[in-house]
Amino acid sequence: MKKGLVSGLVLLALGLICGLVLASVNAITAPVIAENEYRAKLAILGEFYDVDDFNIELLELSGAIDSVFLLKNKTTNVLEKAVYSVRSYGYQSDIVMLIAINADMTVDKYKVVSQGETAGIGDVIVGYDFQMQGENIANLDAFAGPSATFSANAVRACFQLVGARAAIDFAGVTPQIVLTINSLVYNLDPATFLTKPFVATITYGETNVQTQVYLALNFAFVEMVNPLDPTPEQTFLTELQLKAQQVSTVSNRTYFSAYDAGTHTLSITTRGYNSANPIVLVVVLNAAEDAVVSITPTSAESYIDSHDYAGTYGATPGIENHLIARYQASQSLDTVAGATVTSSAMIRALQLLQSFLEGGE
Amino acid sequence: MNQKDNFLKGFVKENPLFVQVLGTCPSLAVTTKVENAIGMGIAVFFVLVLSNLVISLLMSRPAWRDMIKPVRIPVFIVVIATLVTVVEMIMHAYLTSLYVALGVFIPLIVVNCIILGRAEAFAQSNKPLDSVVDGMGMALGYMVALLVISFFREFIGAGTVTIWGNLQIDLSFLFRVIGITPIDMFLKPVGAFLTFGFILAVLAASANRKIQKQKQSALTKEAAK
Repeated sequence: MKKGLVSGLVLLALGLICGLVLASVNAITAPVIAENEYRAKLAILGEFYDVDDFNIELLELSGAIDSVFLLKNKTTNVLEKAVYSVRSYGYQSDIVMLIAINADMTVDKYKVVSQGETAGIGDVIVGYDFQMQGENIANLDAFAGPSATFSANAVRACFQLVGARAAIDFAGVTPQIVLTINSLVYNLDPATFLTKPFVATITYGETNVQTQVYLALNFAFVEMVNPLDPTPEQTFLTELQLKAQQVSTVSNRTYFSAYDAGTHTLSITTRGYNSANPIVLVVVLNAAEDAVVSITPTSAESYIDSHDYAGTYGATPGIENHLIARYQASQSLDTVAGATVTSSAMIRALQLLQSFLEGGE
Repeated sequence: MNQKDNFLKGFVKENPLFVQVLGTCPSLAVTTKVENAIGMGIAVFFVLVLSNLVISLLMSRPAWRDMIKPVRIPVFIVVIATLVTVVEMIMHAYLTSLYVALGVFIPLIVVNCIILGRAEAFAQSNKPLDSVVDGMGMALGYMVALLVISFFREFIGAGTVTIWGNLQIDLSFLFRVIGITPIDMFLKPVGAFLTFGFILAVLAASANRKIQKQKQSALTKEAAK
C-alpha cells in the first residue's frame, strides 16, 4: 500500500516537473511559430505588392474565399487595396486565385495560383489575360474567357465571389455619388466615332442634372455632346467611368477603328480569344452607306482543337467567315448562339455594323 | 571500458540500427533524402543524450533509485516524451522546413526503441558522464546508419544527394552515362526494405568471414602446438 502511494507520488511529481518544462518552452516557441505561420501567409502577397508598404490586416474566412488581406495606408490607415484568396471548382479541380481590388472597386491584379485542370486545354487559364485588369470587379461583361468551358467559368466565378465580398470590405470607403446612366450607346456618327465611340445619357448630382456625354474607348469622359452644357465635377466623371464599365449595353471590346468617307470603307475591331491580336473586319459599304458590299476579316484567332472547326467550317478563319456568310444571307444574327469567345466577338462586331447601317449617315 | 570504447561502440559493434535492429520503422520511413537523415539524426542526438543524462541523474541517487525502480518504465517514457516535445516545439519554431519534412516521425521518437533501450540497458545503471558519452555514440552511430541508407536510396531513387535545403549534389549524369533513369522505387517503402536488407546482408557476410578467420587462426594455432 505504502509502496503504491510512493510510486504514485513519484509519477505525480515527475508529471508536474515535465509539465512546467513544457509550459515554459511553449511560452517561448508559441509566439515564434504563430509569427512564422503569419509570415508564410503574407508571403503569397509578395506576388503582387511589397508587404512593407502597407499595414496589413488578415481576415480568415470559411468558404470559397478563405482569406482576405486588407492593405491599409501606412500613415492614414485608410483601406487602399484588398487581396482575396478565392477558390472555385472547375472541370476537375479547385482553381485557386489571388485577386487584388483597389478601393474604387477596380481589379488591380489577379493570378491563378494553383489548379489541376486538363493539361493543354484546361491549364490555358494560368497566366491568361482575362481582360479584367482596370475593370470594375462587378463588370463581368469585360471578362474575356471561353465562356463555354468549366475552367473559365470557375475563374469567372472567382471574380464574382470576390466582387460580392469586396462590396462588403470597401463599404464606406468608396464614396457614394448620386449618378445614373440612363442609356449608353455606340456613337454612330462617322465624323466622331473614332475618337469618342460611346454616348451616354446621364442624370447626376443632388439636383438631378440631365445631360449627354461622349466617352472614350475606356469609358473615360471626353466631352459634352452639347458644348454649352456644364462639365460635371471630376468625382462624377470618375464614377461615370466605373458605372459605364458595369453597364452591359455596349462593349469596349468591339469598336470602329477606321473610316474612310471617300471609299465608304469602315473597319471594326473586335477582341476575341486572341485578345492581343483582335479580329479586324474591313467593311465596304455602298454609296448611300445603307448596305454592305463586302466584309473581309483579318483574324489571328487560334483554335485549340482546330480539327472540330476544320471539319464543319473549313480552315481558319472558319468561324469568322461562317458568321459573315450568315449575316449577309439574313442581315440578322438573332438566331446565332455564340458560345465561344471568337463567335461572341464576331456577333458583337456584326451587330455594331448593323446598327451603323440602320442609324448612321 | 574506457570512454573512447564507450563512445565508439555505437558506430559499428553495437550500432543501434544495423546490429541491434532497433527503431527501424521511422528510420526506413524518413530516409528518402540525406537531408532528412541528418535532421532526424540531430533530433535523436538531442533526445538520446538528454534522456540518458536525466535518467542517469535520477537513478544515480540510491534513495531516488529505490522509489523509481518499480515505476521506471513510465518514468522513462515521461522523461523521453517531454524531451521529444521540447525538441519538436523548438524545431517547429526555428527549423520549420525540417519540421515539415520529418512530420509525424518527430513525435514518434518517443517510442523509438533506441531511446528507451539505452535508458533501460545503460543509463539507469551507469554514471551520468558515461551515459552522456554512450548517448552521443549511439546517436551518431544511428545517424551514420541513416546516412548510409538515405544516400543509397536518394542516389538510386532520384539521382541526387540533398545535403541541406538548396545544397544538392546532382549525380543524375551517372545514370545518363549508363543510359538508364533513376529507379524511383527506391524512394518508396519497398526500396527502404531492400536497401536495409542488402546492408544487413553485407554486414552479416563480413561478420561471418571475420568469425571464420578467427576460427581458422585458432585451428592453425592449435595444430602448431
